[in-house]
Amino acid sequence: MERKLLSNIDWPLVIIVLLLTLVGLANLYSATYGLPVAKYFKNQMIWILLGLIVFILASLVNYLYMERAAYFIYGFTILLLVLVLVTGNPIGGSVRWLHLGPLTIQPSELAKLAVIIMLAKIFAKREQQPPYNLVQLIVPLLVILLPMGLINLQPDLGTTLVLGITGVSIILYVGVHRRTIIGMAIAIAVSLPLAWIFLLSAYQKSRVITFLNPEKYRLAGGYQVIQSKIAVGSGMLTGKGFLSGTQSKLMFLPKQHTDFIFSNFAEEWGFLGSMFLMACFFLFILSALNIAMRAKDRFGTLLAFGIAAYFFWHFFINIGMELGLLPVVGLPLPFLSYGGSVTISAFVAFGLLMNVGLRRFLF
Amino acid sequence: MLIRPNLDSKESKEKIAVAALLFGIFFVILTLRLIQLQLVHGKEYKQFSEENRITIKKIYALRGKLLDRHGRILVDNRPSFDITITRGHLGDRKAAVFAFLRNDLQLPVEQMANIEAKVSSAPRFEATTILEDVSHEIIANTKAKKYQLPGVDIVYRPMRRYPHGSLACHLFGYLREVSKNRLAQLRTANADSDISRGDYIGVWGVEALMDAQLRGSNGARPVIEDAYGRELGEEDADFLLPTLRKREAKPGMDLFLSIDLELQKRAEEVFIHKSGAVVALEPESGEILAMVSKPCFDLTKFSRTIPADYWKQLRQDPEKPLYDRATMGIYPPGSTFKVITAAAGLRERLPLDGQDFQACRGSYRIGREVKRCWRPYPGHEAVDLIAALERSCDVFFYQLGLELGIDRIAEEAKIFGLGRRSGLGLNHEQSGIVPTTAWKRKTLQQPWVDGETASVAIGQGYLAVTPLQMARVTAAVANGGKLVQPRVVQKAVNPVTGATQEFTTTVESTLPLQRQQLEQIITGLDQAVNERKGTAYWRARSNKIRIAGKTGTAQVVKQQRGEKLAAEFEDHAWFIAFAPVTQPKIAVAVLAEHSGNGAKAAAPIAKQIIEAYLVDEEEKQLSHGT
Repeated sequence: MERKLLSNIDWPLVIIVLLLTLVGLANLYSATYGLPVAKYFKNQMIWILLGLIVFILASLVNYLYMERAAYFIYGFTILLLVLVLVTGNPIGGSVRWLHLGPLTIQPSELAKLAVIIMLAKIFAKREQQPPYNLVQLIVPLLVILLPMGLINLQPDLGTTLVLGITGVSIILYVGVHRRTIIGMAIAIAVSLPLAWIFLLSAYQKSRVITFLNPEKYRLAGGYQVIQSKIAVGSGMLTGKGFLSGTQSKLMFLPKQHTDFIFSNFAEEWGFLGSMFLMACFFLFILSALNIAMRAKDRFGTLLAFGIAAYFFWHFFINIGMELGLLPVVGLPLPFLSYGGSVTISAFVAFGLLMNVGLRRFLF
Repeated sequence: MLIRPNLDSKESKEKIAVAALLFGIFFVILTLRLIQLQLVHGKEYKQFSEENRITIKKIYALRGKLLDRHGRILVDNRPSFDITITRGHLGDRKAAVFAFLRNDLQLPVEQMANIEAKVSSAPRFEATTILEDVSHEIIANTKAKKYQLPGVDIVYRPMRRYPHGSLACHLFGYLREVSKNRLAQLRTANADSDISRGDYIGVWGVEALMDAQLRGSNGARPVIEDAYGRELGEEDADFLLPTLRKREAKPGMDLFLSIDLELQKRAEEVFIHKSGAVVALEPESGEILAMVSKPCFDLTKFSRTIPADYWKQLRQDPEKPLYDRATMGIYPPGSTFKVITAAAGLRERLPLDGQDFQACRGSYRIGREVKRCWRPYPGHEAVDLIAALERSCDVFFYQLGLELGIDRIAEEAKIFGLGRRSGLGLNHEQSGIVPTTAWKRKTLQQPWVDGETASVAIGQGYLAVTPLQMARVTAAVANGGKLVQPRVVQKAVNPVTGATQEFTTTVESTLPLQRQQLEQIITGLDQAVNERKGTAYWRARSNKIRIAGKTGTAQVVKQQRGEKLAAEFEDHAWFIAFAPVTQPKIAVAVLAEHSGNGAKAAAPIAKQIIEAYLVDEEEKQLSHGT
């Protein structure tokens, strides 16, 4: 059985992730050049190693156990999200981290995966066949909205959005009545102004305003995007070369190694490098969808699809934001951004994906 | 294990294909954007990134002015120029820049070291102020060499001007550069707050109380500079526009204070003692007309970074000039408290004609303790309540206090607003102490004894009040029993739009006293000033205006250490007063620390303030009328 499992390894996918990780490390080295590089580089190495360990665990333990434990995983995550609100110390005006002895974890990262597992379980178990109407979707929507609400209180707009949009992607994938889709679209259109008034904090509003109307409103927000655009644009076709990007290093990107990592890469490797990275991302998504398609059961399909959506929206929102297409919501780029939470959760998600892929031909 | 095979695999194939297509479209969008940025506009961005830099320059908002109730300037602004250094722009010219500071500007060595430390610890691309409010010579000197000094800037920045020097220093208050902790606090409280490093915020007086209204908001000006710090026009970077636009600074609100400038000046002038406080209120509205705390400090030295030696001197001064005695100083109220003991007696409908009390023979025995009246044998003889207030007979109030009991007295004191903050909100207002049996048990773990009740009845013992609280008590007696919340700001006016925010009077509560009961107290206070036997007859009676008042002499209770000077053991002198007796327009509380007798040291001050406000005002109006 072990052999059979290993023979199912999706090597192209593994190679893509390996490439992304190596490119990410090199790029991080460059982006933090001039800062205490060693510190960032070393931390990132540690996180990648931890990521590899959890990756192996996540890919080897049969995912069917995960289906069984879905309620527990989900409930535990909600508990952590509540805990972080109750006990967390504000870092930069928001509480996102939970301190457990030497460990500092960000439960909102875990929540994205927990929601995917939970939704996959709910829909896999369902006797009724899709498409579903609104009443049949009430429970899945609550499963998404509860952690969204808790994360928005931290506040963390980027994660809230990605969680919501990933959950909605899964629901749409499963199948929804056309009438329900239209109804929900109207409901969202109506509730947006309400969300604006009651749910968004001042800083979130200012970011959206900056995006929608950069001419009129505060400069500071739009400024980050401009610096990012200059960095990307000045890379031209072939880029300025490794360690030679000036804009993203010297200029005022306070998050050049986290949320704005792509602009550093695009500056140094130009359009060709950017296309290479985009191709890697797209192939990654296609491989994930392929695994979803070939999964041996419905839970596996939904789990793999959810993870594909999770990665896709991270890639798209982060890069879109760095290219000035989307508002700056504060979201890292998996495999490239510096940071423990993003790195480790990306590897866990990747592990779950492999898990589904490895067990595709058992029956 | 139950296995649910993937029955809908055919359908799933189609769905996956649709998903792949949709995701693909999004990737195409990103690719198109990359083409636009890197291939179509790449050259412009590249050229720009090589030759220029964008910096954001702060435009400092004009802080709101402080004006008096007649619109006269109390505190306003004047222009000044700072020299700043942006570390990230120094490039390889750092040595040249520091040589310029040392040789051309002739800065002393220690200052150079400070500057170097400050600059090197600042965020890389933030302008750090190294010299404040510099002279024209320094500006000219720096301007001449500016293009050899990348990273050095001359920044226009309005600063506070204090045309009246140390006048009302505790009331107006001062600003300081915002500290790191405070900045973090402000940002947590309001993520939208645009306050940033290097900004000044109010930390004392009205400047602190109304900081949010006064501050305004700084603007920002995006500047495109070449590598030498020369500003380029917008046309050189129009492909970046319109994302980069100037944000104008919004000036803060001008505040009309309830202070009367002339009265404030007069009050500070007639307050001849070294330390103490004066609070003058309009009884109906609770508006503060003048507020003095002595000793004071020189506000003009506070307009920018406070000189270290001056600050040190103020902090080490044993007279504690940085301490606002009007709101923070707590003292036993002495005999001024008899107003409250009297009110409690009246409300309890005790017989207060003096028939039931022992006549005053200069002292009164409680158990084994003998308590003295301020007037030695033969004392005041038999007095009723009004005469007891007029002559401030301690023996009468000892007995009244014992009848009432401490908790009843405390209840009345709280009705008059003692034991809690007045709601003015200025500085670190103290609540003082109104002792009760429960309070003593809790704080001192001791039972209450009768002798202490007698002390509290005449305003001694554990009682502690602020001058502001006593002014409020006086106002409540004067205005017919309304406990108003004192306030100092009448309105805030937006200097651009003229939009006005009015602040209105808050009556916290109405005293449960009946009109006729209040009348008796007022008569007592009237006679204290205007009857020959009254304690303030010789010192506070005015031939121009009818004043009512109450003297107080607060014993300074045992000091902790014996080494203090004799002056430190002198009594505090109190006087509370209002005028005119019918339809009062001003209520005053005067406290002179360690100045002895209330009638002698405090009453004349109150009298002069009242005359200045009512008589001079009237004369002015008369002269205006003709």
